[in-house]
Amino acid sequence: MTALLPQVLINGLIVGAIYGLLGLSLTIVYGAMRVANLAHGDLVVAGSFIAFVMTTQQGQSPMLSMLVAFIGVAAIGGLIYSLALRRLQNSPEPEIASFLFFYGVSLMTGAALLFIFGADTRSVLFQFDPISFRFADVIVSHARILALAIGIAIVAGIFFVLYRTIYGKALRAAIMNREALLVVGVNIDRLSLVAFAVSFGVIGLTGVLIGLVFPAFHPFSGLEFTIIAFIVVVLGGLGHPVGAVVGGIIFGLCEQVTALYLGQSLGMIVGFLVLIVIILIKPDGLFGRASWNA
Amino acid sequence: MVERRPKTSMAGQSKAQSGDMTETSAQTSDPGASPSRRRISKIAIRVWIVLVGVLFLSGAVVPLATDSLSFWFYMFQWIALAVGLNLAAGMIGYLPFGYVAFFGSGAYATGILVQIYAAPLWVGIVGAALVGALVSLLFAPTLRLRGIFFSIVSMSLAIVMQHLVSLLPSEFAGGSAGITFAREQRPQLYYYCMVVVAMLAVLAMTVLVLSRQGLMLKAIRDDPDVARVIGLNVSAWRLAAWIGAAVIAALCGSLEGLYSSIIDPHASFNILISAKAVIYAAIGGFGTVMGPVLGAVGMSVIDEIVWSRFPIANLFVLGAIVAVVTLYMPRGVVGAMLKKSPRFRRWLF
Amino acid sequence: MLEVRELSKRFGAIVAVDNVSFDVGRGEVLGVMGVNGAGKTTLLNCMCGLLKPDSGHVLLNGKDIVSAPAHTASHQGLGRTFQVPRSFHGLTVLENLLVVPARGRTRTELLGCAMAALERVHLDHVLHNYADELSGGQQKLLELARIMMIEPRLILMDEPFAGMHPDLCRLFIEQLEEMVRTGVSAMLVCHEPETLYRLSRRILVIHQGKVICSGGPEEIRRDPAVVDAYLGTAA
Repeated sequence: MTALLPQVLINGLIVGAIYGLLGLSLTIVYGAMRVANLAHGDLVVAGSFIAFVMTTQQGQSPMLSMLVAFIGVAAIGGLIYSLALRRLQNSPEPEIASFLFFYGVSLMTGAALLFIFGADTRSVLFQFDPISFRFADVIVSHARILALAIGIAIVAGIFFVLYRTIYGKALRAAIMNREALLVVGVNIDRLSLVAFAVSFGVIGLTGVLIGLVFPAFHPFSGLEFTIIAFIVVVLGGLGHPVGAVVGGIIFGLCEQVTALYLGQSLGMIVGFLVLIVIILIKPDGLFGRASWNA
Repeated sequence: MVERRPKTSMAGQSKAQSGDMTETSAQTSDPGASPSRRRISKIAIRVWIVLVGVLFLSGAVVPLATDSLSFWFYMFQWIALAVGLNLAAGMIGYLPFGYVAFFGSGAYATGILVQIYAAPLWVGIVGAALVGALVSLLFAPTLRLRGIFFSIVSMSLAIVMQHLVSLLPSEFAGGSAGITFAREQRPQLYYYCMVVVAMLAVLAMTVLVLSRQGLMLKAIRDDPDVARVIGLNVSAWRLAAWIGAAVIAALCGSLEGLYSSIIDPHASFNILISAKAVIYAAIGGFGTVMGPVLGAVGMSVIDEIVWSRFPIANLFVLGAIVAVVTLYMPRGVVGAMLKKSPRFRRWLF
Repeated sequence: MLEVRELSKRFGAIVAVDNVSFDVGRGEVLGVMGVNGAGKTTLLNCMCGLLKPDSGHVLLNGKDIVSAPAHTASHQGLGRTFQVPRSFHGLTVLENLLVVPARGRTRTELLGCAMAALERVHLDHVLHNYADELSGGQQKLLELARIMMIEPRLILMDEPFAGMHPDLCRLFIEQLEEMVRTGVSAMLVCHEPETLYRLSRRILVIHQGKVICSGGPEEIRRDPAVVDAYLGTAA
C-alpha cells in the first residue's frame, strides 16, 4: 500500500488543486458580495455538461469547451447579478437570504439539467495522446496533467489580478470593507458585476476540469461539489483567497489518502471531520482573522 | 391609565437607522385604537386555535374517507418538520441545513430497535426521540458557530452521519441496503401518530411564542450579548430549543420510516428533507407560529399538484418559488405582513 | 458598593485595560473619560461579563461578578447600555422589556413595571412597534427602560449621549438623575468632558488602558497629565 502513496499524493494534489479552484470562485463571490452561493456545485455540473456536449457529443477539444463553459456560466452569473443581487443585499439577513435564494437556483439548475440530459451519469470522453504519462512509479493521466496545469494557470491568473492590479486591490478592499470603498468613490457596482460574472465563468471552467478529472457526473452531483467548495472555503477562512486554495489542497490530500488506507466511502467523511475539528478549534478558519473587537 | 405623550421631535436624529424608519416610526400606531397592552388580540389566538383544530380534525377523519393517506401523512410530516426547524432557525437564529441528521437518526433508532431487536412499537418511537436528543447534544458544540458557518458544518455532519450509518455492520443497521420492517403494516396507526406529533408541535410552538420564554429565545436570537447582559442564560436556552427541534425531527423520521416500511441511508439522510423543511418554514416566515404551518400546508399542496403532473418540473417550481419568495419577501409571507403594518400585529403571530 | 481591583485585559500585544482599580459608591455617578481607543469600552465589557479579563476582580456588593457566568451579573443589579444602542430588533418595544428575568415577579407585575418604565422614557405610545422602527435616540431610551426592568444598583453607560437629539438627551438625563436619587449608581463613559463635568462629581481619566487621574472636575481640568494626554490631543 505504501508503494501507492506517491501516486495517491499526486492525485490528492491534483484533486486538491481543483477543489481549491472550486473554493476560490466561491470565496470571491462571498467575500465581495456577502452572497453564499449554494448553487455553486450545480453550476459546476452545468460546466461539466457543457464539456460533455462539446467533447463527447460534438468531438470538439476540451480547450474550446472551457471557453464556451466560461462564457455560458459567466452569462448566467451576470443575469443573476442584475436580477437579484441588490435585493439580496438589502434584505434583513443577506447571508441567509442568499443561501435560500441560491438553493432555489440550485434546484432550478438541477431540474433543468435533468430535463435536458436525463438522469443518466455521463462522462467526458476525449482521446488524449498519449493517454497518460509516467514519472518513475507514478502514472498520471494526460487529462489530469492538463487539468492541473490549467487549474494552476487560472489560480495564478486570479491571484495576479487580485494582488497586482488596481481592480484586484479594489475588490480585496471590498472584501474587507464595502462602505469604505463607497466613500472613496469606487464604482463598486460595476466592479462587483464584473467580479461576479468572472467568478461564475471560473465556476463553469472548473466544471470542465472536473469533467476531465472525475470519472462521471449526473444532474444532481452538484450538491456534493457545493459542499466541498464550502468546506474548502470555510477551512481556509471565508473570503480569504489564499485560504481557499490551501484548504482545497488539504481537503484533496485528506480525501485521497484516507481513501487509500480506509476505503473510498471514508474519504469524504475524514475530509468533513477535518473541517469540523478545525472549525471548532479555530472558528474563523485557518487564515481567518481572529475578531477581537467587542 | 396610559396617557398619550407629546410626540418627540425626531428632526436631526441619526438617519443611519434602518431605511424605512422615518415612515413607520413612532407616529404609526393606530391613533383610533385604545393603547392595549396586549400586542396579539385574544380573538386572534382563539381563531388560530380553532383553525388548527379544524386542520387536525380533518386530518383525523381522512382515513375514514380515503385509502390514499400518503399526501396527508406527508403534509403533517412537513408541518412538524417546518415547525421544528423554526424552533432552531426562527427562535434562536441557527439555520441547520443538516436538520435531516436528526430525522435520519430517529428513523434508524426505530428501525434498529423494532426490526433488529424486536422491541415494542412504543419503545421504538420513544427511543427515536431519545436518540434525537442525544445526537443534538453531540452536535451542540457546533452552536458556537454562527451564520452560514453553522449551516455548512451542520450540512457536513448530516452527510457524515449518512456515510457512517451505511458503514455500520449490516446485521446491526442494514448497511447500505437499509432496514425493511418485516412486521405487520399498520399505516393508519402511524398516520395517526404523525397527526398527533404535528399537532403537539404546533400547539407547543403556539404556547412558546405567546409566552415570555418565546420572547427570551427571540431576544437571544437578535443579540446574544445583550441578552446575556440583561441576565438571560443564553447557552441553556439555546440548548433547550436545539434539543426540542431535534426531538421533533427524530419523531418525524421514526414515523416516516415505519410508514414507508423501508429505511436506508440515502432516503433517511436525504439533504432534500432538510432543504424542504427550511424552505417551507422560510416561505411562511421564521420566528412566527403561523408561517411554517401555512408554508408547509401550502407547499405540500403545490408539491402534490405539480408532482403528479410534471415530476421534473416539480423541483424547478420549488426552486423558483424559493428564489422569488426570498427576493421579494425575505421575511416570509407572515413576516412580511407583520413588518408591513402594525394592524396585522394584532392578528398574526 | 462596586469595587474594581487590578483589572487587566490585553489583546495580543495591546494592553487595553492596564491594572485598573477604583470604587463606585451608592448613588454616585462616576464619570470615565479618555480619548478614542483609551480602553473605556473594553473596561465596561470586562465589568459586565462580555469579555473575560485576564486578571483582577470586580466586586458588586462584595460578590465577584467576573468569575461568575456572564448572565448572573444582571442578577446582582448590573445594567449596561451601548454606544450604538442594541435593542432586540425582532421584538416590539414592550416585548423588549418583558424578556428580562422575572426574579419572582408575576407576568402582570412585569407588565406593570414595563408600562411604568416606558411611560418614564415616553415610549408608551409605540408599545407595539418593532424596536428597529425607533430612531437611534429612542432606542437609547428603550435601553434605559430595559435597565429599569432589572431593578439595577449600578448602570454602566457607554457614550449615552452620542448622536442623540437634545430633547431626548434631556429626558434621558432626567430619568437617569431620578434613578440616581433613589440610590442607583452609574458609571458614565463619555469622551466629551463638559457633559461629564455637569453630571459627575468624580471622574476617572483613562489613557492607554491606565487610570491617569481621578477627582472632581476642577482637579481634572488642572491635572497636567490629563491636559497632556487628553485635552492636548483633542484641542
